[in-house]
Amino acid sequence: MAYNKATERCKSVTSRREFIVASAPAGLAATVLATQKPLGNVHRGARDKCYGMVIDLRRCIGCHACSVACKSEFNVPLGVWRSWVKITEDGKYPNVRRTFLPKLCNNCRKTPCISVCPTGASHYDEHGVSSINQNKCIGCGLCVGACPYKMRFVNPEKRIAEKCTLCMHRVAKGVAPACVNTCVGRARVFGDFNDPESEVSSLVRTNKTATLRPQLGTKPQVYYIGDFDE
Amino acid sequence: MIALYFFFGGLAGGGFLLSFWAGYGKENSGHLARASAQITPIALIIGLLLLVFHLGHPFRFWLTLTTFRPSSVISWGTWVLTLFMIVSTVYAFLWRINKGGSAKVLGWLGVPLALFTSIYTGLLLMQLSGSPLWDSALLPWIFLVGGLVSAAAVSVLVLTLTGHEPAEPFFGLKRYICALVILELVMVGSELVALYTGSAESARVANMLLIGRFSVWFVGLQIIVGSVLPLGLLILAGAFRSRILPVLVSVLLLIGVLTVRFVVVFAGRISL
Repeated sequence: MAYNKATERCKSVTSRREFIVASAPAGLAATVLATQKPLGNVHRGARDKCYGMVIDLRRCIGCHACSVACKSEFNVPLGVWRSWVKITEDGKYPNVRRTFLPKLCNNCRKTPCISVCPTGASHYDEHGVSSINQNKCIGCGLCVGACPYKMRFVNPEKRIAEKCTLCMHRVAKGVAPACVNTCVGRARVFGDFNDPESEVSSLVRTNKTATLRPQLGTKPQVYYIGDFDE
Repeated sequence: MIALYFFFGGLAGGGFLLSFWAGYGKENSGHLARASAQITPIALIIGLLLLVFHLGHPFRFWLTLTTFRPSSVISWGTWVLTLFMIVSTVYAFLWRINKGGSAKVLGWLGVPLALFTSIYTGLLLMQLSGSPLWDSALLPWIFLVGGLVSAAAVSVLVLTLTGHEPAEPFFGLKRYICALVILELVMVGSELVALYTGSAESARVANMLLIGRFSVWFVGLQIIVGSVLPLGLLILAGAFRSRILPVLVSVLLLIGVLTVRFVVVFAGRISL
C-alpha cells in the first residue's frame, strides 16, 4: 500500500525538505504531502513558540481515529490514553443527543503538573511544550493528580508519568501531530499561537472559542469551537 | 500502600508531639513520654519504606534529594523527613537511656519537624487540584489530629500491654483523646458541608461518602466505629479501670484513623 510505505519513509528522514528533495525523482513527494499534513513555517525550534490546538467540535464525528493514531504513534499500553474523545449523551429517548469532546494535553502556560514535580522531570522543553523527562521521573504520580484535565497517567509498563507531547518529534520534522494528520473531519488544527499568520491564530480570531475549566487560571492552549459539556 | 504511609507518617509525627507534651507534663507522665518517643522512629521508618516503595522507580528516590524545587511539597518533605528521622532516633535513644532532660531540649528542635511530618501527608494531597476531596485546606489538619489520636492510642496500647497500671484512666490521656476526636468530627463535618455547597462534582463526592459506595467505610467504620463509639465509651465508662477498656478504645480509634486514610485515598482517586 502506497499510503503505508510513504508514512514509514517519512518517519525515517531527518527533515521534510531533505526527504522531498531526495524522493522527488521517485515521484513520491506528492504522496507524502498528501498523507502527512505539512506545517509550513510552523517550527523553528525556538522558545518563542506557543504550540496548541484549535478543535472545531462542529466537525468532530466521534470516529476515534485520533485516539487510535495516538495509540499507535506512541505504543500506548492498554487501559491508558494520551488523547481520546469523550462522549456525552444528553436527553431522554427520543430526544437524545451525543456530543464529542476530543481531548489532549492542554499545554497550559501555568501548569499545576510542573509545579508539583519534585525532581524537575516535568518541565517546559526547548519547544516551550510541557513535557516529561523519562530519566528523571520517579513515578510518584503527583502530577497525575495535579492535572485538572486528567491528561496524565502512570505508564503501567515503564512506571513513569506520561502524557500527550503534542507530537513534538513529528512537529520538529515539519509534519502535523498524528491525531491532526488522521482527523477525517479536519476538526483538529495544530499550530503556533504566537504566529499571527498561523491557521490556529486566525481560527481563534474569527470564531467564538472556549477552553476547558478556564476558571482555574491554567491558561490552556487547546481551544474549542462549538458547544461542549465538560 | 500510600494510605498506610499516611497512617505511619501521622503516627510518627503525633508520637513525637505526644512525647514532647508528656515530657513537660506531670511527674508520672515520664513513662508515657518514653513509650511514645520509642514509637516515633519505628513508625517513621515503616512509613518511609512504604513511601519510597510506592514510587514507580524507588531507586530514583535520591533524585528528590539532589534537586530542590521550592514549588514542590515533596522537595521540602524529603529533607524534613530525613532530618526528622535523625532527630527522632536520637530523641528516642535519649529517653531509652533515661536522659529525659536532654531529650526535652532536643524536643524543641523536633516539634516543628514533627508538625510538618504530620501535616505533610495531607499537604501532598492538598496540592492536587484534580480531585475535590483532596483539594481541601482542611485535609492536612484532619491528618494531624488523626496522627495525634493514633499516637495516643498506640501509646495506651503499648503501656497497657506491657503491664503498666492505668493509674489514672488511660494515663491521663482520656480528656486529650476526647478533645481530639471531637475536633476531628467537627472538621470532617465542615469538610462535608464544604463539599455539599461546592460544585456539582464535589457534591457527588460527598454523596458517595454519605450514601454511596463508600458509606459503609465512611459512616460505618470511620464515624461510628472509629470515632463515636470510642468517644462514647470514654465518656460513659470514665471510672472503669480494667485493662479491657483501654485496649478496646485504642483498637477502635486506630481502626478509625486508618479508615480515614483509606477513604480519603480511594474516594479521592475515584473522583479524580
